[in-house]
Amino acid sequence: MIEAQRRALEAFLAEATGAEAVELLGASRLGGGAIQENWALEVRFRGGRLEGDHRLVLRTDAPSRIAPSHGRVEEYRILRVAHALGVRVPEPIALCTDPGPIGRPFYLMRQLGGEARGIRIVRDPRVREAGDLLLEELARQLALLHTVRPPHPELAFLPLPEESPARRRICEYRGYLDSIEAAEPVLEYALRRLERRVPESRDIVLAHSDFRTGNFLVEDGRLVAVLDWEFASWSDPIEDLGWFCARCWRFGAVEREAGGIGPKETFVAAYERASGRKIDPGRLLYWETMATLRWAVIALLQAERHRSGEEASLELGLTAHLLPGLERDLLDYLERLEGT
Amino acid sequence: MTGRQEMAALLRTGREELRARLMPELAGEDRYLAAMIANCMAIAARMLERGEEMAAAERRALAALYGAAGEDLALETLRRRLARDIREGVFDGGREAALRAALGERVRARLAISDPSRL
Repeated sequence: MIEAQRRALEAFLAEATGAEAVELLGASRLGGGAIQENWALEVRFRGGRLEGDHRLVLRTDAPSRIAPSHGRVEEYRILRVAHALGVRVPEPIALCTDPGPIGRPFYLMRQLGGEARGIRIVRDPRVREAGDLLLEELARQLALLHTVRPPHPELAFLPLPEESPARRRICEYRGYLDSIEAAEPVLEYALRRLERRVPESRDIVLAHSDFRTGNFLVEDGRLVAVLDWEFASWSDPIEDLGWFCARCWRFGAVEREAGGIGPKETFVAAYERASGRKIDPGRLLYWETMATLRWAVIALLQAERHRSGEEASLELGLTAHLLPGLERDLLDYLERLEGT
Repeated sequence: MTGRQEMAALLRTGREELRARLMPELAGEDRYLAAMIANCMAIAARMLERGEEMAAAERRALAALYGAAGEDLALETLRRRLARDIREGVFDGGREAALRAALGERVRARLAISDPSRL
C-alpha cells in the first residue's frame, strides 16, 4: 500500500467513524481468493465511535477481476443484513463506494482470530473431540440466516429466481458448460438426471451459497464467524445444507459427512431444531448431488483458465485432475438418488 | 524400456528426491507448492505410461453405445455427440443402464491417470 493510499484511507476512516484523527499503524496483505484482495490493518482512532486501537480487515476486488462490478459493495450489504440478524460474522465497520482512496471500492470489517483452512479444521483434535458442538453452532447460523425471505429492502440487488432454484442452477451450469470447448458427458448426465427430478420449492430464503468448511473461522473447536458472503442468493434453504455436506467438501475426512466435522444426522437434527423445518433426506441428497456438480463445473472453468493460457498456474492446472474424482462422486450420488 | 517408460521412470525418481530430501525441509506455502509439484510429476508419469491405453478404453466404452456407427469415431467426437444426446434426452428410459456403465468406464479410465487412489 503506497503512502498516498494510506493517507487517503486514514482520512476516509476518520470521516466514516467521526474520529478527530486516525493513524494506520500497520498494513499487510492477507492470503485470499482470486476474486478479492484482503489486507490486515492496525488502526489507531482518536475520538469517534471506534476510539482506541483496532485490528481491521480491508476487503476489495482484486485488480485482475474482469467485471468491475460492485462485488464488494453487495457483499458488504449482505454482511450487514447477516450481522443485524445476529449471525456470527465479522462486524462490518464501513463501506467506501468511492474509488478515490485506493482506486477501487472496498469495505472494512473487524479482524477475528481462528483457523479457516479446511484441512486444518478437520484435523484439529479439538474439533474431533467436540465436533457435535461445532455442527450445532453452524446449523444455528444457517437456520437464523434462512429466516430472511424476499423481498428485503437492503437486498434488492439480489435477483429472485423466476423458476425453482434447482431449475435455475441447472440452466446456469449448462450455460457454463456451453462457454467452454470440452464436452462433458458425465456432467451432462448429472444435469439431465437432476432436471428430471427437480423439487418444486416454494421455500425461498436468503442462502449463503458458499457455506462449507474452509469458509468459516474456528478457534478451540468453536465457531468464531462465517465468512465469504459474496455468493449469497435467494434460494432453497436445503442448497446450503447440501453444499456443506457434499463429499467434495470434507477435506479427506469422508466418513464425517457433515463438512468433515461430524455425522450428517447431528447437523441435520440441529438444523431442524433451530429452523423448525423438517429435512427430507432425499431432498438433501439431491442438493448434495447438485453441490458436487457445481464444484465440478467451477473446477472445469478454473482448469480452462490454465489450459487456455489466460492464467498459467499450477493450482488451476491441477484442478483439471479433480474432475474424474468429482465424476465418481456424481455417479455414486445419482445411484443413491435413484433409491430415494 | 521404451522412451516413454524411461521418461516416466525419470519423473518418478525426481519426485522421490523431491519428497524424501526437499519436502521435509520446507514449511507452510513452500511445502504446499512442493506437494503440488510432486502431484504433477506423478500425474505426468502415469500419462506417459498409460495415457493412450486409458484413452482407448474410454473410446471403446463410449463407442459401444453407438454400435457399428460408433466404431470408427474418435474419442473427442464421441464425447461431443454423447454430451449432446444426453442433454436432448436420447438416453432417457430404457438405455440408461448402458449409459451409466459406459460413463463408469470413462470415469475409471480417467481416475487411473488423475487419481488412482479413488479407483
